[in-house]
Amino acid sequence: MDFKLLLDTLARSSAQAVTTLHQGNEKERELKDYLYIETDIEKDFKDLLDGGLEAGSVLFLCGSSGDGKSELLKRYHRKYSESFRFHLDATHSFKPDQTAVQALDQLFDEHQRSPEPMIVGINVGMLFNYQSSGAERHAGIKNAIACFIEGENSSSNYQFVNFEDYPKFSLEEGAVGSKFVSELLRRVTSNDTENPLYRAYKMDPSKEVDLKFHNYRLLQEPAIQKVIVRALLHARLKFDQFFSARALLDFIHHLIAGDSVLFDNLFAAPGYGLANSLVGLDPCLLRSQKVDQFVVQYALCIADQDFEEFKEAYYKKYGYQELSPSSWIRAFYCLQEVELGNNYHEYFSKDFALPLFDEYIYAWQLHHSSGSKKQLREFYKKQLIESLMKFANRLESKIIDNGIFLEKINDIIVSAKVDVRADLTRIADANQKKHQIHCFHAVIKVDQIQLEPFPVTISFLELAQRILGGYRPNRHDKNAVVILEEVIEKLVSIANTTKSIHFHNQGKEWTLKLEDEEFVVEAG
Amino acid sequence: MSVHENLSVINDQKIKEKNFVNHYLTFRQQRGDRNTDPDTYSVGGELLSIGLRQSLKKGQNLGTFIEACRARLAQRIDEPEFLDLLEAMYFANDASGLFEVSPDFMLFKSGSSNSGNTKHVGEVLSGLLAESRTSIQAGGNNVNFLEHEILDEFKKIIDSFEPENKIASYLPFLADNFAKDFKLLCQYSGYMMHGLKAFIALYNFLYSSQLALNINSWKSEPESKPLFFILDTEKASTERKQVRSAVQELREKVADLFPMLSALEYLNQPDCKSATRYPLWAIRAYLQECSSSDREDLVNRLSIFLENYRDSRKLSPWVDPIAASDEILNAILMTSKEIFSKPGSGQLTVKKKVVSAFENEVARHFIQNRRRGGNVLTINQDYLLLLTNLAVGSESRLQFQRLIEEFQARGVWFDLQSQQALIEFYERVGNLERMSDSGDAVYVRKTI
Repeated sequence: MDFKLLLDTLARSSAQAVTTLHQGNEKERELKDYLYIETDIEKDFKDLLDGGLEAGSVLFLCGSSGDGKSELLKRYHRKYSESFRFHLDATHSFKPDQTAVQALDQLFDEHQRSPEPMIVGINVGMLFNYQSSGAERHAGIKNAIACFIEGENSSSNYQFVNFEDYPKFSLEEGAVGSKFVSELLRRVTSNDTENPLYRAYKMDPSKEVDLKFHNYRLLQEPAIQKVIVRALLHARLKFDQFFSARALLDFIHHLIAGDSVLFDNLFAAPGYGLANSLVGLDPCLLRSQKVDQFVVQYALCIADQDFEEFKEAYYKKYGYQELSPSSWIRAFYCLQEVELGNNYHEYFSKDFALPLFDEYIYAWQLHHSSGSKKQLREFYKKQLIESLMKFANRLESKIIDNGIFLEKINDIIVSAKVDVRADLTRIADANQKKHQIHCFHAVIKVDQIQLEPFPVTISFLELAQRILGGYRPNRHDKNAVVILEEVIEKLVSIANTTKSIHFHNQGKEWTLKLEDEEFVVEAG
Repeated sequence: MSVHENLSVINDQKIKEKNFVNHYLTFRQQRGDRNTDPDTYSVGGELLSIGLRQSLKKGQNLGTFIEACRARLAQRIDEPEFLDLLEAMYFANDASGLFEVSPDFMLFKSGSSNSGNTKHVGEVLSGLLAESRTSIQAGGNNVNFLEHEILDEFKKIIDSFEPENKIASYLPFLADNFAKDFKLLCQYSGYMMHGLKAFIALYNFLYSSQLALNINSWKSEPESKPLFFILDTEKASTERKQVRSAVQELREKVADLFPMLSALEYLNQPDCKSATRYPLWAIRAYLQECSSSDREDLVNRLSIFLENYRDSRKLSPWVDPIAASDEILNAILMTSKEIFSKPGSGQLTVKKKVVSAFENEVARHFIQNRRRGGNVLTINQDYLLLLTNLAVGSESRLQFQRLIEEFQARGVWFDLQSQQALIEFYERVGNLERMSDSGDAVYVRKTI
């Protein structure tokens, strides 16, 4: 089968993108089997099945569309279909005049009539719908779903296995990245005869000139795979992007068979889903002197001997491709860790550093590991609390040098001194979910009062850093400011309970204290 | 007093020279170009008084309270210069600073405004609150120890008070939501002081628009009628018919408000101060339920009224036969519309002025001219966040579809395109939680 046709089976639009219990074309099936990666969720799922399900119970395998629910169920269907009843697609109805919710009602009716345990693959959204509009006679199931939404994975006869609990990315020390995506990229490109794609690539006579082969060769580079995985991780953190297996396969297809060279497919090809989020991470958007200079020089055809040499080396290794200056910038970014010719691209590597992501990951790790109290304290003191205070006092930063702004009435400003510190003893408790990577929970206490932990996402951290740098968001700048304001509000309400407040009026200062129920006024 | 009592004297009802509406309407005909917003403190004070069931003790007012505070503070602080500072901060300028401390002080302003606009809005909104009989507990005030002192003084001059409501609500469905929302607002005093003005403007519009949409369907109890908004950042492209036609349709319905409500006045004993006022649909419902002898009697009385009414407005007698109660009500209402639609008459001018008052006073923040796109109903970010917080209510988060239902219950409808834009908006604000990539598994959090 030719490379293009085989590759196309990875696309979202391919007939193979949706798994049913029926067999497809053998070659296509082979590729799918070859690419299939056994994941942790599969192990747990298998253990549950092997352990046997109680009579009359239901196991919900839930996730987003394209997560691989049906694929997983299909793999176990043959072996277990005698002992359990399988229902693959809960979003379909059995009759034209029936809704999916009614179909589920019917399914559960049938289930209640037989003791056979049932396994249902269901989209989380569908589960929600069923909870809100399923028939009253299945109140038990609806209750179980309500519990599941609140985080309870099993209640009485109902169990839930959720793909969201098995994230594809990890931030844990030493394992930052994604085993799943790395392995998928490795399998797609490996020069192994077991790899049907590679075999097809080898067989194709046009492989030296065609763009998709050029891209395939680039993708074979492990260092480029690393950059891609990292970019995906960043998209996951920054845009809270959902990654399903189907979306990833489609993305790989897009990288190789998209309209342009791999670098542009990666960063500059808005479409839907993943590719869209990555546009926001385009290295061309990084403003740096070197990058700008390169683009200008190239456009003006100013010769640069070093670059010419580098180009030659690139053509020699991957084949000839005409690239625009921005594509070259993206190429430099992707090739960061590749040794190539005179290594001209390393000249830019400093500009490509993304400290925000590194710092976020660092802070996340601090919150999820024991020890390193010193660094934690440092992070809170120099970044988080400092920026909170700066934001709280943003309107009167010149007047309040030590304390927190409480209110301003008729041009008289009131402030109070508070002691805001990291509450290290509670950090471990607040950060138990290691699979929750898009935020960590910061814990602070004000004087002796413990504040509810609040989530810090990468946007929050970015905002905090920008505030430290002098940026002052206003009401209309809604991004992430909401959480910040919430925290500040709590801070202020605690500060309001102190027994010493300061008044600032036209350069004069007063302190009012409550000592043994007596008011004490001090000037200055 | 019951519907029956009101209707049993209708045959003796004198028809006044001028048409008038005293109830159920938050706006009257616009006079001049000046648009005045209702006074927030005055309306807020009225609402708080009813919600908290509190009022000032007899003889107490802002002046006496300021004096009491001054005396109390002077007793505890012996630094004259600092006292001057506090004076400037809290009590100067009619104590304008005081109102920034806590919403409670709005009680001083309850019903104090002379502006007709404020009075009408205050009356209708407090009617909504009183109808639901929700009693409200104020949330803890987040104030420092000095301001505690002032609030302590305030508590001394507060009495409990039992509000009496002589006006049955026209829109019970909205009254319930209004009470719920006001209750929520009271729990967050900081947010309340910041958002009360918008809250009043929002409900003034929602009440008026839903009243207009429901006024003609008096044969059933009012419900939230579709009224499609878009976000102010959205385009109103031509295929969105519901969005494009909303303002025009609303305007036509608003035109019926004044005529129909002026006829309703006569059904509720306009000259009797102690009478309870009932909405049209409740009167109709009573006529359906009462015994046939009662009904026959009341229909006769109403017929006599109809004759007087038409006669005094110089209209020829009603010719269609009248037997059933719906027919007589219909005849009275048709008459009122007839009165207000005579070409060249003063009444027609009044009707037009009332509509323009609606557009310029009540709906000012919600109608946007999109040039070629015509007039559309828009909701801006501030109102949207307020509405979202109200709709999420006491929960901490709400599933998106349920949120849309809550919006609808309050008279704000969004089509599918707007719902998409809403999701993007919440994403930007950062109060959206996705449980999966499915559109059904999306939660919206409160931002207070």
